[in-house]
Amino acid sequence: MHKRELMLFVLVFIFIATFATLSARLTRKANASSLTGASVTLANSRMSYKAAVSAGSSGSSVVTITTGGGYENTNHLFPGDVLCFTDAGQNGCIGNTTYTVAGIPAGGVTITLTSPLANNLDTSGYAVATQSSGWTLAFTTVAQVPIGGSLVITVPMADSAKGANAIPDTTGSLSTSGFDLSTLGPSNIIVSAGCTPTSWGTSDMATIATGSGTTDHVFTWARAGSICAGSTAITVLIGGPGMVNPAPITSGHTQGTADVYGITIQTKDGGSNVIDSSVPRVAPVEAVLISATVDETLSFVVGSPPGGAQTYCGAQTYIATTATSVPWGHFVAANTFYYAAQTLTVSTNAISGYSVTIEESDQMGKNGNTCTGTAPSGTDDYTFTSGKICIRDTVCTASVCSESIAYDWVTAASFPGLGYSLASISGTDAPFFYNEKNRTWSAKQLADKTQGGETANIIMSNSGPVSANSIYVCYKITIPGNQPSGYYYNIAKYTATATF
Amino acid sequence: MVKNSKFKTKIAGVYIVFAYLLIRSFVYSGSARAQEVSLSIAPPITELTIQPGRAFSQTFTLKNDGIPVTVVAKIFPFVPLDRQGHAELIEDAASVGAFTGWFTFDPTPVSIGTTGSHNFIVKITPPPRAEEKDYYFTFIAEVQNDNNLGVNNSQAQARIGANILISTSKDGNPGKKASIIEFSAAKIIDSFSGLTYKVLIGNSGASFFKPVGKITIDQIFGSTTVLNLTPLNILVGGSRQISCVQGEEIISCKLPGKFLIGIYRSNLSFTIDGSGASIEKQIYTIAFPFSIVLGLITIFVIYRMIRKLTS
Repeated sequence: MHKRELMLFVLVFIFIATFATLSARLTRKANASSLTGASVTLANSRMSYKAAVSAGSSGSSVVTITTGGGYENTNHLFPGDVLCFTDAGQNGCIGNTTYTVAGIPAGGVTITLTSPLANNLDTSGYAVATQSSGWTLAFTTVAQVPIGGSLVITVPMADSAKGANAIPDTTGSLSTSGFDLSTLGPSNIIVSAGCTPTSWGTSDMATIATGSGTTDHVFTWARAGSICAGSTAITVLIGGPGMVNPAPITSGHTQGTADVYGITIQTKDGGSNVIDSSVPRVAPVEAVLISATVDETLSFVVGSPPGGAQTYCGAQTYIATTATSVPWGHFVAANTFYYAAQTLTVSTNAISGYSVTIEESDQMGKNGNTCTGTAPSGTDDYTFTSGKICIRDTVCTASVCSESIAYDWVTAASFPGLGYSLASISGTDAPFFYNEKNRTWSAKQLADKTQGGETANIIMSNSGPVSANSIYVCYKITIPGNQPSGYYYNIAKYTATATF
Repeated sequence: MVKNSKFKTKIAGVYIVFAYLLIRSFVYSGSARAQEVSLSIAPPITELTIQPGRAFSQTFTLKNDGIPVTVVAKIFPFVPLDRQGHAELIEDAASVGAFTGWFTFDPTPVSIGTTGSHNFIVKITPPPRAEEKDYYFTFIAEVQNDNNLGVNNSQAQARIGANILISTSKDGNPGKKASIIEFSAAKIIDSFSGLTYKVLIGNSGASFFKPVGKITIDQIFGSTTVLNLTPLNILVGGSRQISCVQGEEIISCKLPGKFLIGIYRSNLSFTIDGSGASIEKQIYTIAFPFSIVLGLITIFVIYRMIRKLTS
């Protein structure tokens, strides 16, 4: 072989060898890309609580914390949270006992508990309220994952911490802080969808490499059985007790601002070369306590429904009222019924309920006459004691209705006067109704407390809390043809009180 | 041409905004609210045990969500109207006058605008020689109406009240005594009829109290159901029908379940205000499926009749 031919051969060999080597490497790098649509969803994104204990003695329900070392004040702790008090080494809860937060007094360093401490607390220990969460990780492969390849998820763990003791961890920076694995096992970390889940890992379950304090938590699923094609949506679930969210980092953290962690998701080939990868973020943040105090109260509304051609209590054509008056106006015709209505609405959160009574100041006296007694003293329907002229309270029928007994009132000419009936709008708080007992217009008198010695009558009541229960109070009046002319009036009083 | 089109668009826009504002001002305005007298009072009940001669101040907050009103504060004694906790105000001058020295508050009319509120501060001072017993009052906020409308009318006057229950006691420990006036249920029931209890508790002591307790229902086959009593005030010398409570909901004292069978032992037990000796009473009820037996007998009789007719 000539020298020139030998050199040519060597050059060709070097060229081919270099090409082969580089193409193998560069081709893989060119294929590696970001997993599309990668996301991590935490069912509970609230940060865990961790504070340094300052004082807490057996028998006391008060614990004091210190914010020294960058640990939290009590702003991120709420009534109902469950607290575990650890020793300095964070070896579980002292006395294997947890406590419930009763209240957070002002000042930021005091916690009151619903039950007294069973043990003295370690003043070098911690008060922790663990927040755990199930995770849902979703992504779509770009390139295929071959048989023998794998899916690898890496979750940051706090440096130099006990990363699987169910006690939340934290450090001074995001790069060294992370999640606690709690008691998660392989069956809690599974591929739930995508490329036949049972072909991932051991029947969809992960192999768990718990972080050491210098390494992070790693979950691995070897691919077996079949290739997982590109563009396949994969879902990974972390269930069971869930991952323990970290406490806020102890340096540079602003309460209310999330600490953001990256979760690394990778697909690999059989040679552990990364095919695709992505680093979706999770952002645990402090919860916000929303609180309000509701006072016990009673609310009462007197309203005036529209007048005119309306139907309330089964009768039509109503005189328009206001919330403070029933202006009958000028009676155009005698022996004719006129109607008016008001609405009453009650709300109360008092456990014993409420009642509304109705009474009148007197019967409708001419020019404010005093109408002594409950009925006219004369033979007519309008002359009371001492010749005082009034529009009387109706007696409804020959059976005589009163302020406490209702009867059907249908004949205007025979039974003149003023009366009322009730109908429900919301709830069933009225004690009687216009159409009860198959009556046309079941009515009562207004209780004449002052001049008649009658007792105010209950027109609404309920034995428990109610929200906007309401009724119509329907008034009805008719005068005889010989009722003396004049200006007649009285006052109907509604009194709403809570039941004692 | 283009300019003209733009101008028209602008004009149309102005019209739309104007129409929207016009409609909104009429349709969505608070006119409904403006026609109402709407008052709220808090707290609706005040319970007080106090030594004669001592003073206690209570603030009643009156809120107005309706038309502007002028309100006058009054205090009336009350007596129980029935066994459901309703009060009957005693408004005659003599009864009211007997307690004028007990209360100090501003009786002058107060104007409260829409969404406004007013705090009525009531200083309660039972005189040193007041008899050691219970006194019951209602603080009333009464709306003042315009007089003389000039036409025949019935004025409607709204009043809202808060009850004040006062026990006067020199040692702060007034004698409280309860009795079970009635604890009953049907002795024999059909399995489908349900088991409803009537609980009537009386107060024979010197101070009002609340019964704190339950009805425990044991079924002969072992199941136990508990109905909690509603802690309602029972006033001195009176009695009160007690309902049951489930969470925050007031319910009738009724054994839940669609089919009851066997012997049910029901035990009413309660203490006065949650402390002291328990007061108890037991009753028994037999539940039997009478309706099913009756149905079977009917079917059997009809079957026999049909067989007779066809044979």
